[in-house]
Amino acid sequence: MKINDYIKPNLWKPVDGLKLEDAALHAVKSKENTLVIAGPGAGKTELLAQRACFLLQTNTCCNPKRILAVSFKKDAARNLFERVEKRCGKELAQRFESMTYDAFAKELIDRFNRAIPQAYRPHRDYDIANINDIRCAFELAGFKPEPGQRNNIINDRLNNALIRNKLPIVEKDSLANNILRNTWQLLLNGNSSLDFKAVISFQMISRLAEYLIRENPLIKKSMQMTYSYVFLDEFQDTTDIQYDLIKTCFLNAEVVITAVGDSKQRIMLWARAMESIFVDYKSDFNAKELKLVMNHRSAPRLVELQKLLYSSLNESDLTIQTSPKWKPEDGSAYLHIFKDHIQETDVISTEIQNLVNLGVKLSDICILVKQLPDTYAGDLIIKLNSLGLKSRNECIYQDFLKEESIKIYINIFYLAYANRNADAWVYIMDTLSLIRDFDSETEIDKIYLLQKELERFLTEFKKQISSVNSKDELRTAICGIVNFFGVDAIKSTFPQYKRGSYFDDLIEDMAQYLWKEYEEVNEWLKAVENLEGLNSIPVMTIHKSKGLEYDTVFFIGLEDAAFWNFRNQPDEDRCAFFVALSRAKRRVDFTFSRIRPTRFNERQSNLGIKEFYELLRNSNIVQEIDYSSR
Amino acid sequence: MRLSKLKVRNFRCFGPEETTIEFDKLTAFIGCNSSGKTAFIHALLKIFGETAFDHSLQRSDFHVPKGKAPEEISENNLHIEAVFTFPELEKGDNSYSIPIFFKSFVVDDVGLPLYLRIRLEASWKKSSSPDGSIESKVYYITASEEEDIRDEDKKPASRHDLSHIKTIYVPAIRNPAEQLRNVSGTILSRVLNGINWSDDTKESLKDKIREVDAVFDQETGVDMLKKAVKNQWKNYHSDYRYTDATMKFNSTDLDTILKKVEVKFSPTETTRDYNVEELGDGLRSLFYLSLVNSLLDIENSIMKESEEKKEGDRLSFNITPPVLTIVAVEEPENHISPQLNDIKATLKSEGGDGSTYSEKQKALMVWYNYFFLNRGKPSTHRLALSLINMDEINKSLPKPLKRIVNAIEDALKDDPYSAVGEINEDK
Repeated sequence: MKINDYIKPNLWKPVDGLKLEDAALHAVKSKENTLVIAGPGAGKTELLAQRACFLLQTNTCCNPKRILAVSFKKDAARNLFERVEKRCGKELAQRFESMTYDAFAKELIDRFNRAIPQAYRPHRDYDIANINDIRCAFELAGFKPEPGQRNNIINDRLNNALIRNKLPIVEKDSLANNILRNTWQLLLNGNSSLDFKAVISFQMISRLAEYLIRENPLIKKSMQMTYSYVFLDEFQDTTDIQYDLIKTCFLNAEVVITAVGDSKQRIMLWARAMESIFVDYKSDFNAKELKLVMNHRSAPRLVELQKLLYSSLNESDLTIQTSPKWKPEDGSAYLHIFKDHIQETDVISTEIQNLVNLGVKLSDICILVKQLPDTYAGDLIIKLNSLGLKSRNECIYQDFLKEESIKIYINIFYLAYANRNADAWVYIMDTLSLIRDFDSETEIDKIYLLQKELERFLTEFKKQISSVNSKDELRTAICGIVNFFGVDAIKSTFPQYKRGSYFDDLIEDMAQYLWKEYEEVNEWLKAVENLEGLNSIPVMTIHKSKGLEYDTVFFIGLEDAAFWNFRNQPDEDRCAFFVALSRAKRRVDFTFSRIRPTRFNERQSNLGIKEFYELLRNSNIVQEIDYSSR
Repeated sequence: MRLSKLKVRNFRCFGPEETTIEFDKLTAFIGCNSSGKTAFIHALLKIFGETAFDHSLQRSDFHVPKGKAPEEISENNLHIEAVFTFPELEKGDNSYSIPIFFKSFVVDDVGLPLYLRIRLEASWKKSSSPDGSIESKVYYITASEEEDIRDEDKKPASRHDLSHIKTIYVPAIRNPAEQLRNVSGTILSRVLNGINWSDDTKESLKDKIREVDAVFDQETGVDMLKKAVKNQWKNYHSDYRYTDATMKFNSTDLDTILKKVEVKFSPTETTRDYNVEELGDGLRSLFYLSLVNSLLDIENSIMKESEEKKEGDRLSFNITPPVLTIVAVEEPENHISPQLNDIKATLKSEGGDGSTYSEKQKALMVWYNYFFLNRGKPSTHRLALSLINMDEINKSLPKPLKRIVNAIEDALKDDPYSAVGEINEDK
């Protein structure tokens, strides 16, 4: 970026001709800490991407200072980065870092391992702990469970004790305190005589990172000199541990924080999300609250329906505006009452068939459940597939498809089989130059040779693939891609693959999933597209659907058994219901089936969550269809 | 940001035992022929040189152990590692380098200063081609120097990041004419291409060129020649394309004009100006150093300008200087007399400490003799007499030089920050 190419702040316009509402524009240009309340469809990612563009293109985030964006999920972090890259170009985007809380904390403690005070310095080759490791460490440290208590309740309690407070643990002369400290030691360093390897959980990692920053003013200062702007995504889900880390890193520093969230979508309380986070942040960081009033996603009548939930979600009444692309009467909602799940499967699959006949793409329809996709939608998936309407449980694919190695394999297939796929070509050439450490501007001769090499490889690869007759042969072909790039080269470019068998496991998964797709369609291009989910209906839980949107959403099983803990956590379940409802752009369907085999019992009820039914029925928007007497 | 250490292993004359040399703001290598002084400079260039040519490794860069014939070796590995420290962090100064490299900082213990490790690793293997195949990669090492380096501690460093650190190498044989050509990689092109040409300038240049052309046209001879060329061409060529053959007597645009930029020296013994090739050896060498200094000066001004820039101000240059420039000067013994002054000149004319953006650091190399430091504050420099085998030097040194070297040595023993400048005056 040449110095004179920067745009003057007052002349800056939202990139790519987008229009931002006033509050959003204010947030984009703000020089103070802000809390942006962004309801569903408000364009949260776009807002953050535009803000990054503003800061970088006008040099308000003064070169070479950087922007740090922290999200919860890997794909959210990646999506945001890709959006920024698209909006302001690769060069400026180099100063934009988008990562998850986990990656942020882990990177700090790995790199600055030696700056962690000795007593809490983890073994360098630790693994990531799961709850059973933690339980095991507690028992090795002397913890004895009381008989009769449920295991997962004990585990939760132990884990809470482990990470409740900031480090170091205050020493007390009590048995519990002793056990706690010994457990930390065991987990941090392992114990060879007990045959226990060092393992730490991400929550422990965040605690360690906070301790590390607190004890090392120079690291803290250099971090504050590096990041002059920080974005916090999905802020309503921030846990106490994460908030402690943020405060230690950035409180009272010359760092401008933009937090974006929506208390109506707070469905992570069970995972320690702080209920008071908005209030705390506003007072700790003296942050200004900005409310977005646009809903770019949903049709007007669906937005009306969402608003009916506001009062029970403690949201003040807001005039939500919808996108001008809709007509006022757009948007529809249905409540289907079935006598059993068999009837449900028939009717819903017919509904979907009709939608597809009207031209709705499969990937634009979503089947949502509260939890247990196979219990609630298993039959429906089978039925749809038998009708030629592909659908699948997306849980396994969501993270898989975001893996760097998987993207390489998929793009190689596109290059070999799709006609002139420019995106895939650019992706592969960029990745190859990155891996081989070529500079695409100065080493043109090398790049040229690389292109020739790639073309030769693709010809070979196609030849090899055309004779593939089994999953194992497919795996061999994929290993051919790996060899072409170089195993060591891939691993050193993407360090996440250096440890353990993760990299090889992904190859195995790739071979298995792709072979399955290929067996169905007998055509590689189609198989890869199907693997990417371009031609299927995703089935997922509400929690996995956060941040996504679909033309039509079918919520299967609006029943007490699905909301089994409603009495104890009404707020969180209301938020979940709100999230489900607000995924839909044009149409949303809810189903209730009197008979459905679930883990509790077959007979389903809806008295516990009757407030949802009252809301839907009194809305004058939802059309209720009762099939149970038919 | 400062270069604090350079470590080499299996690079040229340095064997499999890793050799470490520490750097200060100003550092001198004194040593016998072939003791590896130039090799150190080249080690730096392999990572921080300006052009792809600087970075490229040859088979001859890989160490061949004493008593072994090159043919006996079928594969070999080398590494070069540079360690940087960030004194500005402790001082609380603003820093341009920290944001760029923060993601790769490491630390040795609780509360200690942070540092950066950049390491080139290369391997050579026998192959069908006579030079064998060489693979090399530059990494950030994200482990403390006190720990082993695991695979996951190596993070690839992009060329873009590395371009923030530059080494300017002033070789013993200095041909400024090469640096004065406006081709990629030379000092002149670096500056010229960075100038922020205004549209007005470009427009008025075009006008002036047209005026000059008109002057030419007034000459009837020129006019006749032009017409003849034009008309004859028509007899030979009938396609619509390229029909018009017009003779131009001067450059038509900025780029062509820039290609012809040169430095002229006057007055001279004769009536015409001299160009740089016409200067004597000594002067040429001096001019080279002054050219390097011009570049450093300009980089400082660029930063000052953009720091003080108010909204709407036009900047004179369009480039971002490196955050650290390492100047490596090679002083061969046969340069003695004029160079005494030019070393001083180089050191003196450094743009001061006015700008924190672009730190300059100097590695000074003297071939088998002595050198002098005489800068404003001698206490800020330490003389690093690394790699010297004093006995060997003493054996072969002429007497007066022996005295000086001993004096330097003694002074350093008592007080590494002593004023070396005084010794200089003694001579």
